[in-house]
Amino acid sequence: MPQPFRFLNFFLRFNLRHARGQWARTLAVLLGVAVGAAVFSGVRLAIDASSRNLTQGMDLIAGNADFVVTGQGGLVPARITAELLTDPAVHAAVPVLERILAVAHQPEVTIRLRGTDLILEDRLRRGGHAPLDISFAVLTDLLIQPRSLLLGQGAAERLGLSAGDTVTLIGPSGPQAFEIADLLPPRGLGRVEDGFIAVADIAAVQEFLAGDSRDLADGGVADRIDLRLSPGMNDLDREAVLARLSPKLPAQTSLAPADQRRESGMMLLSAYHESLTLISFVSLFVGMFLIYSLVSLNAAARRGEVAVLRALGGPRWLPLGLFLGEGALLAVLGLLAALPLALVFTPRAANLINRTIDDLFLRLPSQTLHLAPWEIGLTIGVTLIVAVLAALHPAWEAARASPREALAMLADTSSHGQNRRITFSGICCLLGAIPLFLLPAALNSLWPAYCGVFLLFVGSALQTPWVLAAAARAMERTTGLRPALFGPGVKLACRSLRRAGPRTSIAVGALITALALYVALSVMIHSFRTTFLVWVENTVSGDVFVTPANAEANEYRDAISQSAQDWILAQTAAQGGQVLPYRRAYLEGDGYPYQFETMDMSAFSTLGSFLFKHGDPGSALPAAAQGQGVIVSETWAVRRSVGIGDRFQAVIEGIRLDTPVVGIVRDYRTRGGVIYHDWDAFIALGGNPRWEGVRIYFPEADNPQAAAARFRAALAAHPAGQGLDVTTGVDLRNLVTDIFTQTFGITALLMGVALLVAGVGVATTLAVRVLERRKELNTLRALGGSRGQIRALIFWEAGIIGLVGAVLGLACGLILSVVFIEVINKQGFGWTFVFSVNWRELGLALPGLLAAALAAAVPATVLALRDPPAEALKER
Amino acid sequence: MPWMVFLLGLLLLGGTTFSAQAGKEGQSRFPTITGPCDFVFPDAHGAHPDHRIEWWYYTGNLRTPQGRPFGFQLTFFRSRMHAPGTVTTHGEQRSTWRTAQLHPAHFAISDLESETFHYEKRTVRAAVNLAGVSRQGDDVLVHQGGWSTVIGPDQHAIQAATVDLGLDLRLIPKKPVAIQGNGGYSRKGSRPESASCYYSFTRLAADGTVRVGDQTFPVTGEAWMDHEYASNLLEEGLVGWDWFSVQLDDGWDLMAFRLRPDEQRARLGQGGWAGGGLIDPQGRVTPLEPEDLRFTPGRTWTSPRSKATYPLWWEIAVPKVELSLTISPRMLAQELVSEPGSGGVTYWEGAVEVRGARSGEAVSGHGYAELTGYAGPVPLGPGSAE
Repeated sequence: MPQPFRFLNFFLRFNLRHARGQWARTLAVLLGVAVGAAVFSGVRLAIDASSRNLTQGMDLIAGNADFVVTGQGGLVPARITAELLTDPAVHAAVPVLERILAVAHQPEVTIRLRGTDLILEDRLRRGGHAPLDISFAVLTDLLIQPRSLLLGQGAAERLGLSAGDTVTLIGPSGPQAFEIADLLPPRGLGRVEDGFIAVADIAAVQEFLAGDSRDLADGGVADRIDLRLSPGMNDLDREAVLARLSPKLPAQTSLAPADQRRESGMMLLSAYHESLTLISFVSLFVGMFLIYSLVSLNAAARRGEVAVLRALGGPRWLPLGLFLGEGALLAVLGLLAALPLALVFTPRAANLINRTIDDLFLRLPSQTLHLAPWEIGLTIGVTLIVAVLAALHPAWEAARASPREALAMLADTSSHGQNRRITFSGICCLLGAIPLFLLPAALNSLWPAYCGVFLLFVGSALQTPWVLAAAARAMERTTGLRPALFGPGVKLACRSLRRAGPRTSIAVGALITALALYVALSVMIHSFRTTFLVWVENTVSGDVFVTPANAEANEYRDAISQSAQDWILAQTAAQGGQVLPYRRAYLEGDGYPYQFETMDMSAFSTLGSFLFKHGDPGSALPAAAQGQGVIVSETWAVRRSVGIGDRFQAVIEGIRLDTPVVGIVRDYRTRGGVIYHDWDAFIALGGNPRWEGVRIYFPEADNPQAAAARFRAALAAHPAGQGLDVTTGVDLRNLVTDIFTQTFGITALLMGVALLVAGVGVATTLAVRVLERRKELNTLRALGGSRGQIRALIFWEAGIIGLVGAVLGLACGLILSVVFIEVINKQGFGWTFVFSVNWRELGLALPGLLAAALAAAVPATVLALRDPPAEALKER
Repeated sequence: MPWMVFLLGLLLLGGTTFSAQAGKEGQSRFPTITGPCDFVFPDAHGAHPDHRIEWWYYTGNLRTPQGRPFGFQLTFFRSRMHAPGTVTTHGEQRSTWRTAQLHPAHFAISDLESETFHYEKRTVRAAVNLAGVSRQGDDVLVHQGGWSTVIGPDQHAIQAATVDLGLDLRLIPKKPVAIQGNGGYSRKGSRPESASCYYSFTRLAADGTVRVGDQTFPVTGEAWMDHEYASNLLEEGLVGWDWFSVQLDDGWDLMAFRLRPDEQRARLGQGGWAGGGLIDPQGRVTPLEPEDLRFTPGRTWTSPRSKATYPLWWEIAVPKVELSLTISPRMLAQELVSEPGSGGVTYWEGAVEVRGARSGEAVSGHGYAELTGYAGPVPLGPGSAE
């Protein structure tokens, strides 16, 4: 038989026979590996899905567009399409007007209505990856029939509609029925929003969205104009065309590459994706630790067999291969077990992540999961590599020991010199983490911070030997004052731990890591929740919020109609309330999107408040109210390294702003951050005074919530309320809170898994220690040591390990929480929280951890007392 | 030439149910042409927006001072998508993008020396200054994007440009405007209402530039301009047409066309139509009836792109004036291909050489030919629009 097959045959008999006797522990490890692999692949697929959905979705929407003309503040005069088309290099210029609209009687269904010049759109998309794919006959039908559209098949199936039916969409002025001229094929543009898209002529959409005739004058407005240059132009030619076109554009517009919006979206998501990637790797390393523990235990338990193999002439590589193979086999079996888990977990993870991105960052144009074969290969490959690496240390130790050493069953110990080296390495890791925590702001990436976190964990774990030794000494001294009370077990446990080697340090390190993660995440979540709730109550103040329907999804491009404004003013005045109208523009700058909001800053300072991070509210608010500065959100400022006194410069609706930053405030409305400018000051500069949203306050009401509910009901029942979203402040604040709570769903899972794994690690380490010290323990029994004293010894070891892990874990966790708040969250989302510790929650956790450590000692005690002493002391 | 536009207009509208119904039921809502057109210039150079289809059509043969030959075609179309008075909007709101008119335009250059053919087709709506026809004093401006013709009392200025092509010509009429048919009333079939209003400038002296790629060439030559409009659909059973404009060196010009019936009708000797006009050096027009013309197609060429087979060599005779001409292409591949579903027509339109005799005297010249319906039946009539 060829050698590989002989090895395989021997391997299966050597390992499977043993595994049968350890089936419970083996199954636990397989489950851990399966969960790790499922989480790894699931999270990665979800990341890939969100990136792909963003990229493909935006590409489908943009078609073959090379450039896009946008208006600062969202709208572009559509008439400039003609000017652009006079340039010979412009192959197509397409005005685009899009809205996310609800369907009448189906409030949970929204459709992206896209209005364009369909003839020009066909020209722009023809020959590309997302053609319009409708016949010219259908196209001209849409031009002729004023209230007709093409409906995507996804929406048609959902609503049970077909060509010839009507679909009623809710616009800013109310519902409007459209005839479905035909269905969009499920390719190209028809794939956007998973088919929840409708395409109509720009004239029809302009008429549908117009507030009054002024909105239609002189070509009306568009959201943007997509440009496609003549094919085959090189970059220099394109630059020349841009230089030629830009001066022709009106002052309130700008020309940019079509993929800029996608790129800025990807930049906004990059930190979030990095965090998710880290979570996916952490889940794998959890499995790695379980494999390490099990292989260590097996290697220790089977030292005798290994010694016999070596004594009979087996080469060193044989035990190495056997235990590496065991690690690999665990990985393979774990991957197989991961398949059904992945089928359940992956869609849920993708859904959660896509929803989080949708809520916190930007709207994803489609929500489809794609399983790429290379992702499967990556999961398999990484899992196998991690498993083999995890098994390497115990396999190497088993291979390294001579037969005599193996038979001697030397325990895991370390020398003083070795401990010094370990401690020094740990200090270097801790010191090395510091500059890494300072790097992210400069490099615009979270990976240095994550590397710093890893060094923090490693450095803390590497302090274990001396801390364990010191704790053991202290414990020995303390308990030595009342030896009769504590018994001999504690002294023996302390002496044993003072000599503990690397394997024990690794187990404690796992405990430190788990507890540190738990503490850090607990502090972070508590800090966030505390700060966030204060922000919601103060900055998101208001008893009623009124906006055009789906305003956020439509980037506040529509206004509240004049009739609705009049009704709101009259009703609010009648109830002694106050209105605070606002406008919101979605802009891009420095590669990131952000929002520009105008409202009466003076009124807001009495009706609500900002949470200032930097700047003096006493001077900043009056300055902002007079238009002598802007107040910016922390997110916006962090991404651009802007401080108090720095200038905010932008052109919005043709108005050139150059004003100082007078305040930086905490703000958890994401999507890139917010600039707050005074309403009157902006109108004085030429801004449009239209209401794009309004907050209503009832400060004099006995029961503001009841007043808000009545107002909401009255507006919803009135014709003026058609096409509006009306939300009470309580509902809005609850919704916002729920959104942020769900973002911590995955972190909560991680915390639980980490603690579980740490407990398994402690249990395994204690069991290994028992195996390595069987001769010592059974000698004690032979000399008269009772079973209780042996148990006490093991429990004291577990207790001291648990205590050291808890102390170091707590310290590491508090440091880590600062890193999470001030570095990772800051870089990832751009915001920080007020540091706040829930000592009660932590105080409850620590005893629980100690109890878990003690519980983890139970299997070790069973193992220690399993065999009669005489049997255990036999020379093998 | 008018045929191409006439049927192009039908193709633009032909597939729509709405226009098909208009064709069946609403034809009476488009104005019909049943007699002389009473042209009044310069007004007549402008648009006739109530009619279904209209075009301003320029072709010509040019050469550089060194003798490098080019052919060109620049055509501005207007097609009305529905009969006047049928548009509705959302209540009182009406977008300025809403229009009944589409403006396709075709632009082609035949580089006869390098035997390369370049063309561009585009369509926009007549709204928001994307395209349109307007008066500027005595001038009529027809434009589509950056392409335009300005028809003045003494000259036409035409220009068009893409990244790869450019044309900028001043065209000075060497003859007065030629009113085709009976006072412009040009029959296209056996029914009186199967007709268009049609006039031509059959001989325009061209001077300007042609650009191909990065090279710009000064050119001179002779051009031909047609302006035609109509509303009524062609009669059933027609599959295409062949149209010729000829400028003879002795100053005579000939416009001749024939509409081809389908095979079945052709076998039975039914359907089809022909007509034309003979213009003397002073610009006097002699209308030609179907019986006045003889068309004999000769050798063919098969397009490698569309796989259509076009008869590019022709014999055309006008027996009553003892005129017989042999038409041959100056270049084979002068085909404008339209993608399926784009609403366009694939046809051959290109520069031709002419040789022959009139009353025993040898004649020669050049011109343009337009051949349609060879890349598949051209949808015609109300039946085919469904």
